[in-house]
Amino acid sequence: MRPLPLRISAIIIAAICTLSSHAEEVFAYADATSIDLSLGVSFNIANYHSEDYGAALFSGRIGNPTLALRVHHFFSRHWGAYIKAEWMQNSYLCSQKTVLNKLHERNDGFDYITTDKPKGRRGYALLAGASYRFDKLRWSLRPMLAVGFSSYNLNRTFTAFRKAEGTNRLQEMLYAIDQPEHRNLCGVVVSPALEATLHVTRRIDFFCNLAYEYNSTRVWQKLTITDLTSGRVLDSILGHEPIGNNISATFGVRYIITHR
Amino acid sequence: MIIKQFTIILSAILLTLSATACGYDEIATDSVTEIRIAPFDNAGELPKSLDADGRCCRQSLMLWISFRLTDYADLAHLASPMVRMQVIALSDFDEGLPAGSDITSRFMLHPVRPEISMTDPDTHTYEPVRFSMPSEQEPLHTIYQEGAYLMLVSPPAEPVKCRFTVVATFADGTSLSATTGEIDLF
Repeated sequence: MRPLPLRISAIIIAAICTLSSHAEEVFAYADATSIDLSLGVSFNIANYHSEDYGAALFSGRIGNPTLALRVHHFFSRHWGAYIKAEWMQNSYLCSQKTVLNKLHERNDGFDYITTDKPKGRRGYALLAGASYRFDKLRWSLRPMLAVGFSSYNLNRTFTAFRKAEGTNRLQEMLYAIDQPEHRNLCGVVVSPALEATLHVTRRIDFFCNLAYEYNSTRVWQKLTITDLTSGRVLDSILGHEPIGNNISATFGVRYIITHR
Repeated sequence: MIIKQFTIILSAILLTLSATACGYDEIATDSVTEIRIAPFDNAGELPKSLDADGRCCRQSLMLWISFRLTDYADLAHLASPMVRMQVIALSDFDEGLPAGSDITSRFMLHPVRPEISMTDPDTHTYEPVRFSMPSEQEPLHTIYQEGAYLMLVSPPAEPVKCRFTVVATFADGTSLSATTGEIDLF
């Protein structure tokens, strides 16, 4: 990701300082309702040490964009609850360079060649959670815990090749998701998070959210290896693996609708 | 007055942008003027051009066939489609395949572009090859300059020194050919 241009950074800093200078009161409201919008990046940490063909070929650690909208209500000085809708991409079927590096490390007598570019597959999550508020004069810290479900739209097939070292003997590795009736894969999500908030004005906050998302979605997959010279199917591997957990970091703005 | 001037300036900008906007370029109809052949050693992950001595393991020989079009475009619709492409051995190749034999069946098209021509450097992926072996029943109407990569998948039983000629034949009866130097297949 490229660094923000100097001018844009200066404008953002100036805006924050200007807005902050107008905030004089202590933000110690008893209850409040807010709507939050955040944008950031999530990293898939699945199968990092996996040795399987399927997992090694088709998992990665590329960061993908994440967008979230949250309605948050605090019932008291400290406790609150929220509903969050998230749009994000999962790195499943991604990161060919990482994949190739993993496969080359196997030193199994094959050279691996892939033809598909990295794909982040979009997904949606809907979560409900609880939060606790540690409020200070200008900032607050909020640990959170949410539970919900997610739905992903995954690629059905993926083709890679491998070549026996020293020869032209090429083998096709056809990966397919073995769940034809499930175009979208659903699963349960559990997400602890920690959020740091900067109170800018009485109604506007900026916040930074760091979250871990455990995702229960599992993908059933079939890997068929065919020798292209003879046309013979050499191996057919059926298995399943988790779609992968995410770590996400987002930055957002909060508008406090009501408070007292 | 100001609004009128602003409108004139805005119109001029829009007209300029419209004039300079590139429309969709249709694929031109063209002819192949030349074919080229280059032998490579495909033993490793990345093919290597054969050394000056032209030695290559017979298990890993690969021939890159590329095409030159009249207008030097990347691709073109052929005025006369290609109906055949053959690989001819100019020396004795194997038992039952003396000099002059058609050994096309001993080769297989590589499904992806090897590192020779183009790879996405960021993702280390290979683009699919856009070529299929033509025939009378299924001639090739569109051709890409990068051509095709032929891998020798049925090598001779014994080491042999051989030169190869690739012959491309078109529907109008014309043909083009290219020949390699002598390759020592050990």
